[in-house]
Amino acid sequence: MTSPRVVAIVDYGMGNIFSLRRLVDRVGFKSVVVRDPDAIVKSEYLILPGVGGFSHAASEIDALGIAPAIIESAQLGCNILGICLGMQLLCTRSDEGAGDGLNLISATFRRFPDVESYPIPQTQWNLVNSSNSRLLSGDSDGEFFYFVHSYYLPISAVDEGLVVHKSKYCGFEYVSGFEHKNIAGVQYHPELSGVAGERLMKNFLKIR
Amino acid sequence: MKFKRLIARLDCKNESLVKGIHLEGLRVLGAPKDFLNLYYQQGIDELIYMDVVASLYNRNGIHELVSEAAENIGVPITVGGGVRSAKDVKSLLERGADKILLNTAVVNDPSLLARLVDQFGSSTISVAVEAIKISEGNYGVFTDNGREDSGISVVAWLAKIEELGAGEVVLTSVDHEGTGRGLDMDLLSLADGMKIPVIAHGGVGRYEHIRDGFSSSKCDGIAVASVFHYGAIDRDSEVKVSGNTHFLKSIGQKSDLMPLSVQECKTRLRADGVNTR
Repeated sequence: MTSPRVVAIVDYGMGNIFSLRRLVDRVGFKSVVVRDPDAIVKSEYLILPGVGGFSHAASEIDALGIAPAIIESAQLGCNILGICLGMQLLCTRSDEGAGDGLNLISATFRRFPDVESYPIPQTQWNLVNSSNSRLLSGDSDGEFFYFVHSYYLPISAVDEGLVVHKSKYCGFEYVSGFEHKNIAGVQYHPELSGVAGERLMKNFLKIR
Repeated sequence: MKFKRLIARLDCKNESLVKGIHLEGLRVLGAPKDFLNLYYQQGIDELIYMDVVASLYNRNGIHELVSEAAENIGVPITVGGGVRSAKDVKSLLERGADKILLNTAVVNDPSLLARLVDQFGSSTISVAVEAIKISEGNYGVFTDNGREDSGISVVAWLAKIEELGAGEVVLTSVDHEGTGRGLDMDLLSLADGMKIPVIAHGGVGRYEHIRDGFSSSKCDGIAVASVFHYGAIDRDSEVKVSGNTHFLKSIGQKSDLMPLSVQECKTRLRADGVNTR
């Protein structure tokens, strides 16, 4: 019998990894929490979680000295999933404040505009649509996931050819997730999205 | 798209789900975990888990209970009750809370709210506003579960917590809570101009109150307690009821509460044209 695959969750001090570990458990995998470069480079599946501010997170990653390790593991083919702030950190920068992302995906996050009856942060279950996705089923009606965020990735900001997940808020569509080779990011929280989140995590952990 | 959130609220005392009924004091309904699991399976959007005595006795028994309660839940859980410091917030987050609900501590020291938002992010920090009607259109903010008058008006406090960066507000009508006579729509209208999400709480006694809350106010979510709890006790044998079951069964006749399941509520909301998951 083979031992279950190990999923490394990067702990850079930004919030709650309890729910995420619980999700990984529920879909039958083992999670470890990592914060040193060696462990990051060796991992087969790497998740960047995160709740909170971009600048603070970027400076935490800087202080831990783990950015080169995450970039190296991406180059070695490790399957990486960034969740919420983690997705933003995979990209270049954010309007939210100073600090550099990992720039594995070249893109900049913008703040949702003030639009009547659209609270900021978006805090709700919203529909996610996709096609050619390895993470989502591609259901034409979309799937509901739980979102909490104030900054978003505009569709015009990402390269064509990137597989994108789309959602609609403030009256327009934006990129709620992307998949590019072994790098994926989702703006929503699979760990807070019930069975839809379980399906996504199983799909992520099927990727070889 | 905008989707309205249906939230089940569990007020807990020590290891039990309790409910204040017509100001007669707290009644024990059962184990919180059983109710949380049932609502999760029935498709609830979020859960609120409140320790209703922590603020009064200045203790933190809830920390140990949260991790057990949250074990099998895959939707957001907001935890509150007696949270006083960054250390408390961190401890609850590490035990499975996704958002933290604060009232007394931030009313006493608003700068704490700003510091918590800075450290944990606004999306993690929610404020519970417990409102009591003073006069027509004029509401006051109370703390310690509606026992202490802060002397602050709801209008001023809502503006303040938004300015300090709170991620969400749970606006409770202390007057309506536990009565089953519907949400306080006048109170909710005070939050109409807010940019952050508003959760309405207090007074839901039947399905129509939820429907009307969504159609006649701008609230983003409604927190429901009694009608779901009694729905769970009525229909589901998996929920182990402790306490006085005869009393519980008689609640329906004694008050205006019409028991409801989460599924039924969702189905009817969709049929009535409310956008919800």
